[in-house]
Formats: sequence, structure tokens, C-alpha cells
Amino acid sequence: MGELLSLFSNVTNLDYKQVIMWAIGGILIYLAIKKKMEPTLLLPIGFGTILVNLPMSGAISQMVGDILQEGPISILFESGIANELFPLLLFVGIGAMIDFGPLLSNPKLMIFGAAAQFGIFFTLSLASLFGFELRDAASIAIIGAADGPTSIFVANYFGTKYIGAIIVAAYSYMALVPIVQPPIIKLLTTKKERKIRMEYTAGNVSKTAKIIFPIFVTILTGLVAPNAVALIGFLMFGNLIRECGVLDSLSETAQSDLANLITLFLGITIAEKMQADAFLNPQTLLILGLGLIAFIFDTAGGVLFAKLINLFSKKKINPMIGAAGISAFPMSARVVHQLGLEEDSSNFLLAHTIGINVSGQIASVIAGGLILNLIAR
Amino acid sequence: MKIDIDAFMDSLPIMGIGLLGIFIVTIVIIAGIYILRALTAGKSESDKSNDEDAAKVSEAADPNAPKESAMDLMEEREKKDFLETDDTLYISKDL
Repeated sequence: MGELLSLFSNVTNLDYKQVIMWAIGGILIYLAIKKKMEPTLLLPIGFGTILVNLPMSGAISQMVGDILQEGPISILFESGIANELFPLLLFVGIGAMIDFGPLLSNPKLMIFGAAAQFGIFFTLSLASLFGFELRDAASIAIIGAADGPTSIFVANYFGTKYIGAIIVAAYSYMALVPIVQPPIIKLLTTKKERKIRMEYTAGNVSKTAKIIFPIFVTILTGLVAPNAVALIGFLMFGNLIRECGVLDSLSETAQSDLANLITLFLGITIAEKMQADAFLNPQTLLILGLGLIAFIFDTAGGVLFAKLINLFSKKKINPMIGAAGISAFPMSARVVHQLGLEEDSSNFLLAHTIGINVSGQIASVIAGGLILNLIAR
Repeated sequence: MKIDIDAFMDSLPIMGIGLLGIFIVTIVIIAGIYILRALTAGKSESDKSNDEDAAKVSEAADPNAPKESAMDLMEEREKKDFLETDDTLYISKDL
């Protein structure tokens, strides 16, 4: 009987905080499966959250007596995220997936990608106001990049202890773009503005231009924000593989096998930072709130910038397209296109919004790079 | 939670420089794209695809024509392998 009881002795090590984390893990799994919210990330994070919050979990490194017992998730974290490797490898896959053609054929729309990063910098100041140390504030602000790998890269670069909450917020809000953006866009625009039609003339983009573009952006960003050169460099390397025309097999591998493999491990590895003691604190709720503010002000920044341009431009633009400048690709482009159709079923904005959305991807990485440069590690 | 006005004020220059920086970099990229397009305007993608179509037509006319090099043969084999790959193996591209 005593032996039987000793078999279950670990139950006495269970803490109520761990049970709360099981519930949080369960919610993430529910959202991933039932609501299809970023399932590729939220499901592994959810399961990993349960895994690392079992009492004396062997999945994470911990001291047993005087001996350090290494756990596989901690090892994966050290070898894939602590050295920023996983987000960079994922960027190769993402770069291979992106077609910069719409951006290259209408480059001036790229300015909206820059405007829609306002939320990042606004949240940086707001997080500082709420008492977060500058490096933590920068890590929280980067949720507004609406770009998972960039968030992971920057948060990890600054070594913030809030990385778990930041990643969960970043991916959750990316999935919530169709819910978060429309009310903000409607609030800031009139019905008349939302009905503005925009002509689309596809410019000729040569293959040479598509090949040189990723190299050019890498050099430029590397000169301005050298700390981010790995981030933009891996993204553009993936794109170069796609566009060069002689590495189709590698491009396919980067888009599918590589991206899937990294994503598979990324989610469960992030769960290392979802341990109850680090996650369950008032700051986590504050970070979730600040992340939402970052998304809202990104959207507002893009829309208001478009309205500002309309004040000086003879040819009016539909201000809604500014909202597509956030990096959540391609959801944001689709959301704005859909809003345009709701107002006028024959107003097709997709050609414009895709170009802006793609530029948002570049702008968010540049914003991350500038933050790395402006704030000391 | 504490409200730290001093930290907020200290962060404002970072916000200003960051926003200014991203606009400057973006404008340089836009200018770069226009220059790039001007320099490479000679041969558009549609022209290129026309050339490729013409090449396919000539190839179809003489399917038994010998391949020019070992690289061509390797490329053909790679394409064949790729086409025969089961796409259902790929789980998702939704990132």
C-alpha cells in the first residue's frame, strides 16, 4: 500500500498555479482547434504549457537535489530561441512565401507600411509609463509588429522575463486581426471615405528587379540597423531563393518543410517560458492589454496617415488601405478588402492592400531593427 | 503597477527617432525601387514569359531533341521529382 501511495507522491507537489496554467494551456488548444486561431503556434504552445507545468516536469531543466536535471524543452529553448536561431530560420521560409511583386509594381504605397508601425513606438512609451524597464517596454512594444518571429527575436535579444506573455499576445492578436481592425477602421473613417475607389495599374516588374530587391533591402537595412541585419537578411535570403528561378526545389522546401519543422518546434519550445511562476503575475495582463493597444494604434496610424495624405492629394485614396500596413499577412489585406466590399460590392481594394501588407512585413522588421539599435541591450 | 512619468518622458525621443527612422528608410527603399525599375525596365516579366512560351513551343515541336547539357537533364529530373511529390505531406503554410 505504501509503495502504491509513493507512486502518486508527486501529486502533493502540485501547485494551484500549475492547475491555472493547465487551464490556460487548454484555452490555447481550444482556440487553436475550435476557433482556428493561429493553430500552428497556439496548439503547440498550449500543449507545451501543460507539459512544463506538471509538478517536477522532466520536460524542463531543474535542480534535483544538487544535480541539474536537463529537460528537452529547456535544451530546445537554449539551442533554438536563446540564440535566436528558430525565428531566423522561420524567416527564410516566410521570405520564400512572399511575392514582393505587388509592392514593386506600386512602390509608393510602401509608405503606409511605415505609418502602420506607429503602434510599436507609441506602446514603447506607454509601457515605460506603466513602469516597465526600457528593455522590457521595447520587447512588449514589438507585439505591435504583428510578426511572430520579429517579436521572439527582439524579446529574446533584450532577455526579457516576459517573453512567454509577449509571444502569446503577439500570436493571439495576429489571429484576432479580423476582430480588432474593423471597428477601429470604421471609427476613424466616414462611409464616404470607405467608398472611395482606387484605380489599379499594374506596373511592369522585371525578374531582374525582383532578384535585386532583396539584396538591396538587405544592404540598406544592414547599414541603418546592423543589429537587425540577420532578421531582414534571412527574410530576404528566402525571397531571393524564391525569385532567382534556379532554386525552385530549395524554395519549395523553405516554404513547406523548413517552415513547418521550425513552427512545430517553435511553439512547444516557447512553452518553456510559460511556467506558472513566470507567467502568472499582474504584468502578464498588462502586457496583453499593451499588445492590444499596439495593434490598435498600428491600425490607427495607417488609416490616419492615409487621411493626412488625402488632405494634400488631388487623387483621393481610400484611407482604409492604410490599415493593411500592419504585418499580419495576408489577413490584414483581406480584412480591409472585405470592408471595402461591404460598403460597395464592386470596390476591389485587394491589389492595393496586398502591396501595403507586404511592405508592412518589411517595415515591421525594420522597426524591430531600429529598436535594437536605439536601446542598449 | 506604478506610473513613471520620467521614464515616459525619456522614451519620447526614442519614439520620435524610431518613427522618423522608419520613414526615412522606407522612403530610401521606395526611391531605390523606382531606380531599380527604371534600370531594369528593358525586359518586363510578360516579355520574359512570352520568351519562355516560345521556347516551350519550339521544344514541343521537337520533343526528341537532345538536351544540351547534364544540367538540363538534372533540372528535368528535379522537376519530375517535385511534380511527383505528394502535396498532402505539407501540413500548412499558414504562418
